[in-house]
Amino acid sequence: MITVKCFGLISVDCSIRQLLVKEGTVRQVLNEIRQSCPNISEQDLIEAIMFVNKQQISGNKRFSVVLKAGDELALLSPASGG
Amino acid sequence: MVGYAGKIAKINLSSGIVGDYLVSDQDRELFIGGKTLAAKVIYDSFKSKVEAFSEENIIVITTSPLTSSTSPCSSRFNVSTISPLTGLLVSSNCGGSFGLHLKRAGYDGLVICGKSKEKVYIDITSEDITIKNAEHLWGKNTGEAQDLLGGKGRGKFVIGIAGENMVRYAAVISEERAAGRGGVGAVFGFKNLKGIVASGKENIEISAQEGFKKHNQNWIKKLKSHLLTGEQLPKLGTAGLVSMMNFRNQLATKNYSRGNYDDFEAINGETLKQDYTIKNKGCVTCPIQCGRVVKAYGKEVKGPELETLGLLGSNLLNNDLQSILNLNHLCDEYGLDTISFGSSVGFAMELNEKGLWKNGLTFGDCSLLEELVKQVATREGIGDVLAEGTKRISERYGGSDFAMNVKGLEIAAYEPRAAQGMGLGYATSNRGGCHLNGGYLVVLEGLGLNVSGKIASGKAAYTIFFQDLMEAVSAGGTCLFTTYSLLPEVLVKNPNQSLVRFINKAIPSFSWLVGLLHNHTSLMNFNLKSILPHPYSIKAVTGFNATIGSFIKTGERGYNLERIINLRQGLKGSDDTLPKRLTSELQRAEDADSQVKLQGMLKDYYKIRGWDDQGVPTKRRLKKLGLEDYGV
Repeated sequence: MITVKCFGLISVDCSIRQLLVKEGTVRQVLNEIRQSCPNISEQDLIEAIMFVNKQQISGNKRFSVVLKAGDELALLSPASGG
Repeated sequence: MVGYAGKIAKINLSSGIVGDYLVSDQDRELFIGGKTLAAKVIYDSFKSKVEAFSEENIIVITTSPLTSSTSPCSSRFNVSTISPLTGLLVSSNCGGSFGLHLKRAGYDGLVICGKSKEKVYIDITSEDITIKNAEHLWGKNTGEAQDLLGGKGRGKFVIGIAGENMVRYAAVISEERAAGRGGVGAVFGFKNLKGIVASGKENIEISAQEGFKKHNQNWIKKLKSHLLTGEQLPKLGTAGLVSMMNFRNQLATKNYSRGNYDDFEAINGETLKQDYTIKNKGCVTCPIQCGRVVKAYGKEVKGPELETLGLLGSNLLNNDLQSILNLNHLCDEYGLDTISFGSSVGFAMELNEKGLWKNGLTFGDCSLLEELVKQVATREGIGDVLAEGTKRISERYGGSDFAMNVKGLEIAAYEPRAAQGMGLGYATSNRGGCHLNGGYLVVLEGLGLNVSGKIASGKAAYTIFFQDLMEAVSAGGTCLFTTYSLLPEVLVKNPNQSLVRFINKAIPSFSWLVGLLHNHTSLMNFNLKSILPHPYSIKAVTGFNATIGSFIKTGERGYNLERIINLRQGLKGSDDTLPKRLTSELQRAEDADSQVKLQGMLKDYYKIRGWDDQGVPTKRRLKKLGLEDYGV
């Protein structure tokens, strides 16, 4: 299983801190998250800043990254200013 | 004078004489208010170097034209003095209601000089200023002292036991808000001044009332709709930064030996909100409401800011959030700056770990910390050493390479090896290691925009621009969070769009343009109210012909004047540096870019600032700023 962790406004607005999903590409994992958590919008996920095992992934190729069992995907809302 | 109360009181604690401190209309227009006007007063008051703990040192408290107006986020006021931590000028900004009440009492500011023989406080009303006996307040912490000073409707500004004992990083507290940095509370204590209370019902005339009212409505609307000030800060407070900083290796951890903390989720903004926050609150006149209300010792109290979570949490490997809430409250009550306290303790823990100072303090063991706050405030046991701050501790026990201060002031929780511009800001800040006075470039380097924090090239011009902008915003009297409206929402909200990614990559390449605008502010002699509302507000309140260009120039004027004061206090260009840990040790062994590349940035910085290679403002630059009569 993949551990997905949500931070920032994604976490607050959708009341989700963490969930477990099946292995797959980031795109597949994001689709599964949407099915598990209908109050997360597609836009929230597209604009999230993503880290896989603490390494940032960006660009369109991020959706094709394959997540293996035991990986951690972190989704952070883009704004964090303070 | 429109927009101002028109009076600054001069209070001599040695003689007990109260009089007026005269400021010309021309100087009000040049320096506006807040920290820049305070710098002007301090420059004029000293002829040569002054020691922090001396009768010659003065405390200057200043409001601004927007204080007590209906401008959003405008309850801020400033206190400046010579810092007992740095020996340089310190300006500390506070969000409590004291400034608002001081202005309603009919005063734009106070110049407090001399030293009282007895314990005193100052009582200010529209009719009178009285120096009163404070024996009954001495030994009381900030909450009780404020309670004893009177009911609601009066603004209070007091020190706790730490200030009485001249702890070098003692704060001054108004309500629950602190003028925290640089040890202004210790100077209060040295002068035997427990605090000040003010109230009045004076109305301040506004130059263009109708235009101002409409402008404020639009500004508040913008603040409430912007992602940062309308969503992020109200919902998570500044604590919301912890997670992103951790992923970006920007969170000070284990005395800045690392930029991320394994247990960050135990102390981040999400946990604070979910498990500890009762409600959010803000300063008077603030639509953002970034403050948190939490419980400590069974009472509802102010929650911690990001800097406190970093310095008392990850920096000490403390994953107990309730202990951080308790420590934050204790520091406010005793009147201690949480940043300098946390950094001093973290430094002591590393000294202990390395066998340089056997003090019993260990990373991750926070059972002693609450007692340690008391020991520092009362200067008992090892608290007496910790009360001196990291620079002086390192002079006694060694370890200067990892004593995390700049010019004596402990740096904030943003680990700069993953935010080069923030590193330059710390090194050059007039206050010492202050993130805000340093320009807070980390907001571009991953916390608002997504410019790479690894790149040093091009950061100098942006650092200068933001330093001067922050200076001007402080002078005007609004909270620095109002500057987030400068960050285009399209860039903040859509970091993954191809065009936005391209812009983030290109931003450092446009440093030449930022430098050009900085050096030719007349090119910005117009107002764009939707992007930078502050100059128009000042214009509407005072009648000054304020534009974006003149506003930035005021900030630059203030920054240069503060630099001159610091040079007179003995500052050298070689002091514009960072602890060696940040410039010579890689944060991550696998990343050759994970150290601050300071020297190259500093060279660019001096050049764009118009300073010589020793960091001294040139006569040409000073003339351009209307400071030709000012010098070291």
